[in-house]
Amino acid sequence: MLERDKNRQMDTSNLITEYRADPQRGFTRIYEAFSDKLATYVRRSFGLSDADVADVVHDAFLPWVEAPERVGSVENLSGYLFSTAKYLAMQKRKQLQAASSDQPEGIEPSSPSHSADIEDVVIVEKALSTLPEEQREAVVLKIWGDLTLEEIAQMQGVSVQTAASRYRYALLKLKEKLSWTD
Amino acid sequence: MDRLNDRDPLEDRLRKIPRASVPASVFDRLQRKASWNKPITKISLIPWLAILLLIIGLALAWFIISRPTGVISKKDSFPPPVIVASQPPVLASSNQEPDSIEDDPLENPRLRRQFREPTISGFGCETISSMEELLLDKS
Repeated sequence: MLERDKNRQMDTSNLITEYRADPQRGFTRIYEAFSDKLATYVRRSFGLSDADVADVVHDAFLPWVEAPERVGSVENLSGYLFSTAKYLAMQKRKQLQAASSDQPEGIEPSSPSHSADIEDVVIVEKALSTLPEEQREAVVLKIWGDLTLEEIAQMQGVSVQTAASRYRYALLKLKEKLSWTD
Repeated sequence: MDRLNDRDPLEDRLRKIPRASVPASVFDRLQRKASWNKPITKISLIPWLAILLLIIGLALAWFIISRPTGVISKKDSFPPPVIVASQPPVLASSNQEPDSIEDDPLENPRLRRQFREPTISGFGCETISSMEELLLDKS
């Protein structure tokens, strides 16, 4: 395991310990650490709109403010949060598909804070939308969610090797699509 | 596995793409719903008060119902009843021996029961044995 992953797991462990001791302060720190990661995952893996992303992130964090005693026993914080967000995003997508079956597939362009990044974000999100869902999820969770391949494998219910293959194939395809020069 | 974790230039470049952000209103909404921000209002105490009152009411009702009735204090009591000494039961033929077992209070269970009743004191006897002795003396 990389040093970066070890440090991240220690940080996550500290966050949950802090939350157990003081839910109010602990929640603020967890929210700061994960809200944007969850939003990015929901946005780029499921192609939801900004408003729907906000709803999913809100609902994913809701138990952490309403019932600290229930979620305080969570061991793998990042795994739990991303799994919750995945479930909620799938529910939301089902609702949207049921509401309008003729809604076009794909990802609407998001609104990044820096205008200089808009172009890159749009290009990347467009390229991501062409990937198979499992590969897209693997690359989004690894790159912007900071999850390890073991955690991605757990979330997808596959072996680590399968998760690693999905990630590798996703990168190869993105390399072709983006055709960035180094 | 280490090879899989090696950083790809593309990976580095993708990491520089900014993450999506969440509006500040989401955090505010969550804070409003947070259990630590909800004050303990009087409304939440009402069910507990109702339960407490119910328990007190039940205890009071039990106390009232189970209290023995007819207890009269000495001050308000009536003078003790005057017990008039009465004669022992007079049989149909009091001077004679009982005609049969049915007339014999010692043998007849019905008569025995009758004499065992509280009215036995009315005959000047306190117990069955004293009645038996009385009757034996008579005979």
